[in-house]
Amino acid sequence: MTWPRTPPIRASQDCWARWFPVCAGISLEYYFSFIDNEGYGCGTKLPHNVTGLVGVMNGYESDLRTGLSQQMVEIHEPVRNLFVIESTPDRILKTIRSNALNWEFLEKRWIRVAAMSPATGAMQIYRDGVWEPVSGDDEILGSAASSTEWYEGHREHLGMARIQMGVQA
Amino acid sequence: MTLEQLLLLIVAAPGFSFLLLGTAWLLGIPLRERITASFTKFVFLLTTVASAVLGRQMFSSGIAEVSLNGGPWFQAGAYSFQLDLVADELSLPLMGLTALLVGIVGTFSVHYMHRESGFQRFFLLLHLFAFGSMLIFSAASFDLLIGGWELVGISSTLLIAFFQARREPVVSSMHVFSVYRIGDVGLLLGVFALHYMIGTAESREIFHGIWPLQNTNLTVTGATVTALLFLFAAAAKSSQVPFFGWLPRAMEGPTPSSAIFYGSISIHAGAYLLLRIEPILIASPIASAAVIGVGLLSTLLGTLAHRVAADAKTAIAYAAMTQVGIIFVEIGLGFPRLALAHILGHAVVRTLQFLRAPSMLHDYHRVHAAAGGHLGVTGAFYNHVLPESVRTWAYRFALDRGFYDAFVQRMAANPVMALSLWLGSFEPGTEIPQTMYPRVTSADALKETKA
Repeated sequence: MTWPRTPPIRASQDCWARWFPVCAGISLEYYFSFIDNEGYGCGTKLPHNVTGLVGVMNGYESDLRTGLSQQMVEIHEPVRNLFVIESTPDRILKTIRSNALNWEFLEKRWIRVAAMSPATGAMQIYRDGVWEPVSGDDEILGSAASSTEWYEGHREHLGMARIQMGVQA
Repeated sequence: MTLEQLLLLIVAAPGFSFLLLGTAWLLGIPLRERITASFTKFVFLLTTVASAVLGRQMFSSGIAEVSLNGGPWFQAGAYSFQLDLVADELSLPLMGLTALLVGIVGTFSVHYMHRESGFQRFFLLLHLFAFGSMLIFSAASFDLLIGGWELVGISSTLLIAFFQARREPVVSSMHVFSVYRIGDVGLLLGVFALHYMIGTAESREIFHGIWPLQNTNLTVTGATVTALLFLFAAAAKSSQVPFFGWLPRAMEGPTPSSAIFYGSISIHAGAYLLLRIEPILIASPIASAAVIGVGLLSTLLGTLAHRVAADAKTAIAYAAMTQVGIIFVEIGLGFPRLALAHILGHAVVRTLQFLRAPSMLHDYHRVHAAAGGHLGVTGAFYNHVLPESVRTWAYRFALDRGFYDAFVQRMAANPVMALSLWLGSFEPGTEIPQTMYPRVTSADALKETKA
C-alpha cells in the first residue's frame, strides 16, 4: 500500500508525541503492576473500597491503592511497545529527532521502532542507534489449529502462534 | 415430608454442607471451584424452596407453630438440655430470608471470588454462617440460641480476617472478636438469669401463647434484669450504642461477606433476639425505655457518621446501623410485626447496596447522566436547624464516629492494658507486648519497610 501523499513531518511528529507516551505509559503500568503487584499495583480487587469517589483503598483504612489489580495483570503479559511504521528509516529518525520527547522515548528504550519499507515491505528494527534488518526467521513460530488449542490447560503467558485452520500442531 | 422434617432440613442442610466441605478440606481432597459453586447453589436453592413450602403449608392449614423435639442434648443431674427447634411467624420469615440471601450472595461470589486463593475457605465459612443463623432463628431454647450466636460470631470474625497475609484485617478482626465476646457476656448472664428465676431457658416454658401475642410470668424485676442483659448482647451484635465502632472495621473482608453479615443477617440477629423476648420487654417499662433509648442514640449517631463517611462501605455500614436503630425503637415501642417487616425489607435492600458498592463510581455516573446533572445534596437541613458552632462540633463528632476509638482506648484498652502489665509483673522474665491495641499508621508501615 502506498500513501496518496506523504504526510508532512510535522503531522507525524504531533501524532507520535501522543502515541508514544500513552502506549509506553500503559505498558509501564502493566509492567510495574506485574513485577510487584502489592507494591506498585493495587493487589487483589476483593477488599477494595471506593473512597471519596476518587479511588480505592483496602477495607476500612489504608493508603489509596494505585496501579493495576492482580485480576488485570494476570491476563496480560507486560511487553515493551513495538511501533511498526511504514516509512523509510531516515525519515522516521528525522521525524523522531525533531521532537525532544519522542527522541527520549526511543533513545532510552521505553519503546521500540521498526521501519517497514513502503516499496518492498522489508522490515528493519532500530537497536542501539543501528537499523538491523529483520528476516522473520529469528524466532520459531508455534502453530496451532485454533486459539483454544494453543492456550487450553495453560495459565502462564504463552508465545506467539500461527493459527492454521485444519493443521495440527 | 412432614413439616417437622422440612424444618430439620432447612436447619441441618447448611450444617451438613459445612461438615462435608470441611471434611474434604481436612482430608486434602482438592475441590474444583465449579463443584463447590454448584453444591452451594443446590443447598441454598433447596433450603429456600423448603422454607417457602413450609411457610405455605403453615399458612394454608393455619398452623401457628411447627416444633421439632430433638431429644435431650445432655443432662446434668435432674436437668436436661433439650435440642428443640421451632418455626413460627417470627423465625420462619428470617430463616427463609437467610436461605435466599445466602444463596444470592453465594452465587454472586462464585464469580467474584474466582481464582482467589481463599475460594474454598470463603464458601466453607459461608455455610457455617448460614448454619449458625438458622440455629439462632430456629432455636426453641436460649441455650441452643447461644450455639448459633457463637457460630455466627466466629464465622464473621474469620471472614473479616479473610486476607490473613495483611496486618490490618487481622487487627480489625481481633477488635470485632473482642466486642463480640464482651457482648456474649450479656447473653450468657441473661440465660443464667432465666435458669435462676424459672429453672429453664426454653421458650415454651418462659412464654405462653403464640408470638407476638405472648405473655410471661416473670416478675417486673426479673423481666427488667433479663431484658437489659439481652439488650447488652443485642447491641453488641447489631452494632448499636455503645458498641457501634466495630462496624466499619468489619469491612476488611471481601465485599460479598460484608453484604451478608453486616448488610442483612448478622446485623439483625440482635433485633431478632429482642423480638424473641418481646413479652419480657413489654413486662418491663424500664427495659422498653432502654431499648428505645439505645435505638434512638444509634440512629442519630449512624445518620451523622453515615453522612460524612468518605468511603462506600463505611457509609453503607453506618446507614445500616441507622435503620437497625429505628428497628430497635419499633421493638421498644411494641410493634413487633412492623419491626419484622422492617428487618426483611432492610436486609434485602442493604444486600443489594453492598453488592453494588464496588461499582459505585460507575453507578454514580449512570445516575447523574440519567438525571441530567448531580443529584441534590441530602441533609442540607442541618445547615438551617443547627447554629454555626454546633454544626462544626457535630461535623467533628460525626467524622470521629462519636469519638468511639478514643473512648475505647481510654476507658477499656488502657485500663485492661495497665492491669495486664501489673499482673505480668508477678512473673518476671515474661515478654509483654507493648501495644495490645495496635493501630497501623502509614508511618509505622514505612518504618517496617525500611527495617
